[in-house]
Amino acid sequence: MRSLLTPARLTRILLAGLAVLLVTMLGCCLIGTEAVSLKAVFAPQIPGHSNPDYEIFVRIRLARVILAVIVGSALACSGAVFQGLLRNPLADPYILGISSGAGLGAMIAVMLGIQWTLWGRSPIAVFAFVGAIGTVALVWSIGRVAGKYHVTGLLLAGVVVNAFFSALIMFLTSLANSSQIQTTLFWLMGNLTEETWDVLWFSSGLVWAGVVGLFFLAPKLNAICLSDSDARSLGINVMAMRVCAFGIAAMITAVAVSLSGLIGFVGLIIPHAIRLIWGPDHRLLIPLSAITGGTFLVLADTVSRVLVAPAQLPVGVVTALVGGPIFMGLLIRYNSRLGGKG
Amino acid sequence: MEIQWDIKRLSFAYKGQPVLFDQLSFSLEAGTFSGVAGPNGVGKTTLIHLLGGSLKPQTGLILLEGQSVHRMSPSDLASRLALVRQHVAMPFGFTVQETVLMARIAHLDWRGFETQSDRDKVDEALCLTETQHLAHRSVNSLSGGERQRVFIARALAQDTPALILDEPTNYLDLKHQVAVYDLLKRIQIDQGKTIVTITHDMNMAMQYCDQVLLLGPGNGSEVVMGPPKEVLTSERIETVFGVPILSLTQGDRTIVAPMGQWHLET
Amino acid sequence: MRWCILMWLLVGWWAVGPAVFSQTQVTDTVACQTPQRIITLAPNLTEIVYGLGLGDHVVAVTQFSDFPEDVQSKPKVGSFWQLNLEAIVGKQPDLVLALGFQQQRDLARRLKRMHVPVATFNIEDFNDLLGVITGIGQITGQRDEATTMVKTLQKDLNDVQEKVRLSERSKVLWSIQRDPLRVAGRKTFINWIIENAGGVNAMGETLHQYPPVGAEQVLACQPDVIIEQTMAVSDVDETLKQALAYWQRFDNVPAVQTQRIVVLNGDLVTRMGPRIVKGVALAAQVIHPELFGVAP
Repeated sequence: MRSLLTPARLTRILLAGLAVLLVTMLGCCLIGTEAVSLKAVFAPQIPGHSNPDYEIFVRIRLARVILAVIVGSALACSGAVFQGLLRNPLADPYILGISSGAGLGAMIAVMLGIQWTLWGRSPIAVFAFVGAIGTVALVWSIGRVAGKYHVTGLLLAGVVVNAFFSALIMFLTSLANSSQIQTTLFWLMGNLTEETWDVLWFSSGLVWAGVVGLFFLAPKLNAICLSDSDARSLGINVMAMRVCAFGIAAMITAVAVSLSGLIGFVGLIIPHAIRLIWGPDHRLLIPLSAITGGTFLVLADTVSRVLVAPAQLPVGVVTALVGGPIFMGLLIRYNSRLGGKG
Repeated sequence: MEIQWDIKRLSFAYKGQPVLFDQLSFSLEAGTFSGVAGPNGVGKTTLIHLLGGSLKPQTGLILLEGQSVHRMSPSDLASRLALVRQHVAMPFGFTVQETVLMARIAHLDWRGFETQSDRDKVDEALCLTETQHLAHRSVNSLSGGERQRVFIARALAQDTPALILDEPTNYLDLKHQVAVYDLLKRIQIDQGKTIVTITHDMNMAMQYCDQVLLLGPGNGSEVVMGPPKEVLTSERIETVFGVPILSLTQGDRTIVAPMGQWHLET
Repeated sequence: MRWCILMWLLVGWWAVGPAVFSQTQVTDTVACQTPQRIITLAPNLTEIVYGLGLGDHVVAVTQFSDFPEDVQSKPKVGSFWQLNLEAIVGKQPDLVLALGFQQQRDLARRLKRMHVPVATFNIEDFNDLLGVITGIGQITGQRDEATTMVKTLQKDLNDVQEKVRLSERSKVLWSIQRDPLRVAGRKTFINWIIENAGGVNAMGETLHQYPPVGAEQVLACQPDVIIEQTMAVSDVDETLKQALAYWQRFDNVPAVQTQRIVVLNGDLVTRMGPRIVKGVALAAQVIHPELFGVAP
């Protein structure tokens, strides 16, 4: 039993979510392998000596937590949008070949042994970003069916491109030496490291703008839930909306992937969990997915940092291991809400 | 009476298939209730889609209120015409209220939220289709008939001068079949809407329609159009549908019933 | 309309950013007096530092640094591939030694941003090793010790080379993995070990550094000796048993017919560090037992 979403209710829920996010961020900055005292962090800086507590708390942990928020919100939000656009609850941000395209880009960067950096960004990140965007464009152009964009055509094109690029990655892996393999594998498993503040600022700008833009498209995303022609009869320019939504979602996914490698599960499960509890209205789903995705990834990253210290688990492993049981619990609890849905 | 739809020399065939319509011309007046009838495969749904702008004819013009449906922007078209189709299950569990609200998408404010007048229109539509008690239920949990009424409510909430329906009474029981036709007739009379509906039920057509378009038999044949009494004669129905017809007249009313093999033998 | 406002907000956000955050200063290495708190991020670097007599100054190492014995009691800051940045910074080192491959290079960059002195070294082959020993000697103020170490290594290698110079080169197949079968190709430093130990790689030139090979290629290359390696010295016997069982199927190559299948301690032959020459000597013993007075 769910009543209509109102601006007041939306604001309330989002503010509560943001509060939870901020508390989680702060809490996770205090957790780590080294003991850090807040007092030491804020002690005045002595020039010539570095303050290890400050370095650890601010430059390592805080930077990493902020990155987790950026990546998590980008992935969860774009996952929700892809599921809506493709009308497929099994869609995730990587479904249209972004994962293999980014992976191939990263692998090529590693194999070529490129050392120069672009504005301080590592070459792997740049190549991964280009690979991701390029692959979406490729899938989009292949996915035409009789000159029109058809959901099935897009999905099939994505599957084909994914398979082809994955095979290329495997071929390159067989050629690579062990350090190259390790580097690529690492990247493929997803990892979060601290970034410089300007990188965080720049990418957070892109991601929040993307989330807001997708929020503007939310009512139309609601309306295409049945079929394109149905949406058109409601007055929506389906083509324009598709291009816009795909473009923005692909862009924020590419940003996330270039920053952190392939972290799975977040984009698939978070939107589902939100839908189970709060319903499928995209006006709430999109911003709340972003906030929840960020929170979830911060928590997952903290677990990955401390569980097998001093080594680290790849974040993608943690998201799957942690997310799975939580989601199953949600399913059981809210089973009645599913109704006759498949 | 102003003209709602003006069809001029419409010709259409699906790719690689025989011609469905050849140089067809007719017009529908505003505020009329028209039924489209004919055997399976003759092109009823196609005609509906052509009228609604989802399909493009090879030649000919389809004018709605004087403008070509294919030249109008989607939002423009949606403000003049609402469609009720056959619907499959939704992948996501929207409630009835949320679904009907989608019709108001052109009227949302800058934040993407509806105003009170939008909500009122939705309530009104739910009342008219007797679905208010289902307002907070997920559409996927409804029966076929209830779902049908929800989508009719959505088309009503769109608040357009014209309404096109594709077999709206498909899954409905007798009571609701009559209720839907009564509703359509009422909004035709009260609100002056133009209604075009595909119908399989000849008797309903005779009771409610101002005019009937009978397609067939076979493709590309003449479309017969006119008041139901003139068009839906037993001979014509027999010819078009290929089934013997029993016709009973009682005063002003005529009932037609198909006669199957067993009927003939006894 | 909303979209325009959104675009402008984004542009504004980006414009403000660089003004608020200035680029972090990157500190480059390094002073020349003896560092007191050294962290080494690779086992071979650890061995070099100990070899230069700075063992007491080492405050942390990575997981697989196990030589000399002393090292095993030192705190660990993660493994070779996965380093714990917090732990490194927390130890307040005045010198961190890293290798040059992508991950450690990244880490070095990040450490420099946090004002930690880092020196990166590439050790791909023996000459690199000698150069690195000298380099580390310079930045730690142990120049003399470094020179001595280099001279010793060169002499030891020459000794081995002399011993095997005149004998016939045996064909060696060095397998690094059994399932699927992968061997060391001509472009690896294992190949260098083989050549200095008086052998020749049974594999010809290949596109891959570590080509996967099939039974056909094994038969075609007709090795005289098959060498495998283990991760830890404790595994040698077990690995040997498995290796013998595995290679029996290739009974038409000389190595199997004469049962010259050997398993070597990985530490000595996979670590390009000061003990590599010992590894070469070990390989030479195995390839030309007759020269060393050891039973085949």
